[in-house]
Amino acid sequence: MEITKTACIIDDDPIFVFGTKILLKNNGFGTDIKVCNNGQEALDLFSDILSSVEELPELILLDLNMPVMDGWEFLEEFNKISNQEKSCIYVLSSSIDKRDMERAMSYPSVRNFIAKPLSSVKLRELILELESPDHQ
Amino acid sequence: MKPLESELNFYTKNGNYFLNSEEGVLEGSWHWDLKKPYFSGVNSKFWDLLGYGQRPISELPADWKNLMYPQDLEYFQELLEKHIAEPQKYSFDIVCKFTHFEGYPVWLNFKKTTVESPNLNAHKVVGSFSPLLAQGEDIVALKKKVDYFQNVIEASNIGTFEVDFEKEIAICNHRYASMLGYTLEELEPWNHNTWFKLIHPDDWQIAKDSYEKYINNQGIYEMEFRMKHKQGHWVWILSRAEISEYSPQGKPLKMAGYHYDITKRKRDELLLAKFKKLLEQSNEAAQIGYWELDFDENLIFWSKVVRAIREVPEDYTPSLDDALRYYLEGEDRERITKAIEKAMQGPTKFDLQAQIKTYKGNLKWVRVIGISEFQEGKCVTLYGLMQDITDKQKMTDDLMEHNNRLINFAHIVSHNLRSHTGNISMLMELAKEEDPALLENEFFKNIKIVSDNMSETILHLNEIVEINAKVVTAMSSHNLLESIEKVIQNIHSTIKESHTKIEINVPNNIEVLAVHAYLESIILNLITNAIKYKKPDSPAIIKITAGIDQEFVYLEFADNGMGIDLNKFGSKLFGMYRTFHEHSEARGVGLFISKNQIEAMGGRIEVKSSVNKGSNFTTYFKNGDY
Repeated sequence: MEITKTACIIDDDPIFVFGTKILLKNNGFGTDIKVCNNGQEALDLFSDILSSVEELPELILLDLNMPVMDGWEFLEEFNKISNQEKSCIYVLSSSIDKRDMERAMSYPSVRNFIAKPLSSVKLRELILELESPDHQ
Repeated sequence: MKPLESELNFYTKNGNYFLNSEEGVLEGSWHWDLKKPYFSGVNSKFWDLLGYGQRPISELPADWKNLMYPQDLEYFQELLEKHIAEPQKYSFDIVCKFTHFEGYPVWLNFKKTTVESPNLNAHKVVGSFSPLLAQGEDIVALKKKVDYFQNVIEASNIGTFEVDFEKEIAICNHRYASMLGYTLEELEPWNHNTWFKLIHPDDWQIAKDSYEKYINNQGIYEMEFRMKHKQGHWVWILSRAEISEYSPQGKPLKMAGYHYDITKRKRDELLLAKFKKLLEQSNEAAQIGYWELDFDENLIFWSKVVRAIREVPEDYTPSLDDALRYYLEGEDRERITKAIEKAMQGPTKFDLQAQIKTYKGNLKWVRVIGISEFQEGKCVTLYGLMQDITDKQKMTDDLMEHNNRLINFAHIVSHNLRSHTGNISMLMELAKEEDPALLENEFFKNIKIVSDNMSETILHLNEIVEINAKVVTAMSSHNLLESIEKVIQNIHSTIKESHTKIEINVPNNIEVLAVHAYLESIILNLITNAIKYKKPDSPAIIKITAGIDQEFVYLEFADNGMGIDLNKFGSKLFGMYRTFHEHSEARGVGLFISKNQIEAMGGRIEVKSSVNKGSNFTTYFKNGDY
């Protein structure tokens, strides 16, 4: 965890955001953790980033149920953005509905589906997965 | 004494009685004693006429009457009796048929002659007979015809009657009376009142009216009415008659006709009418109608209900083109068109549901059943039923919508609750990482317990919601014994530690249709329950038996544990969060989930239990080999 990783949390739940931020910082992510309250905010942010010299965050934690634009719509739109290969989306949801999981996994940009709550253990597993060779 | 001997005796002793009879060439004489029928006799002329003249006496038939046709003999006796009773009314002049020695029929005309003799008792009749042959072939032919009609009447089982309007009497045959359970004598004297008196009160007026109309030369005499049988029940009679004689003034003098027992036909008719009405009523109640396409005649028939379903006006005459017109254009019409086309290719039946747009423009769901009929390889008719299932369809739609709403609701509840408990867990963990000493705080400890419990509850809730969705896709056949052994293997250490004894009596060839995970979870749950709720002082003994009960496989878990007071807890046993024992590990979810799983797989669970003796849980699964 020597390299500072970039991350973005797309979630409308302030408590989840609060906790996740702490967990991420404790696990080697930099202070610059971007937070978006819904899919639309994230898309706006990403298009700003793409028009600049910056790069998209390496890790995107995406909630499914959100106002304005939910996680599904975001995934549809995100697929249309070029240069997304470097980003890795983890869908984080309170849903443990198998159908939701299968649907999320059908998006190529989605790396995995994690049932909330997020914990240090789950986050560390996630990071290991992120660093594994099959990640392009 | 044999009849013949007595007859011969009689001749010898009373020979002089015959002196009065005319000594014509062909005439013979006869006598008859009503009180003593065997005292009847004929003179030798009879034997001559019937070809026995040259035969020795020993070869003569025992009784001359044996040569008479039985029907004629009956009529002979009948007339004789009537004549003696009322000589004015019934004259005695009768033609009877006999069998000649050579086998051919001979007709003899019997007449009574008046004999004045003090020795002659009142029952005695004396007369003469002469052959009809001598009077010409016409009479033979006529007699033959009479015989023929008599046979026809006898064979057709009809009761005949002849009404004499002047004398106000009617003469009937025996069948007329026996149809009603009477003998002719019982019904005498026969007149109109006898007839009317026996007619059913409901039919009486109509019968009387049409009878009177007829004798006043209006209409025909043909009616059906009920008459009272001697035993009290009603006999349906078909009655037909015609005036047979008129006076020169055109007044009817005589009428002849017949009665025919149509009770059976009438009963069938009434039954048929009843069933027809019943069918119509139930069809109407169920909104089922009949339709038919006749390709031979190019006709279409719609019953009342079919017309009502399609909402066509009363005077609407459908044509063959209408057969398909009312089905909703597009998918519905294509479906029915295809079904009809297929049915017209070979004898088949279809049963489908489609939407129609009625004459008035309303949308309805109908179920259509059709059957095709072929003659010489050609489809001649297509007929079937049409039922309005709009209500049913709507109810199914509503139910499905309601069910979906429930599932969504369950998902939302479990999802939203989970996000809160998830947050609490996360915050607790973060707080703990920041300050491990917090773990010692009592409040903190309790909040953690609440949080964990809540997470578990929600997990269970979710499981229940998932059970029904899962079953549809995940049912497969599993060997029961293998599944049990696998579960026991998994909890081997628990069984060993608790010194539990498990006796398995399950044939190795039983297959059950189940969701694999559920089957194991149910077995596990019932075994661990038995271990958990054993008697404190002795180890658990669990007997597991299984067998096949037609389409089901039963699997029974009998233990010797604490037992459950079913009177107290029976109705709640399989409810959620029910525990019946003060036990540290009692969570009260297991049976609830097991029951849901079993039922979702089409089975059921039953329990017998008595406190301090043990419990017996029997589960039923779908038989995988059935």
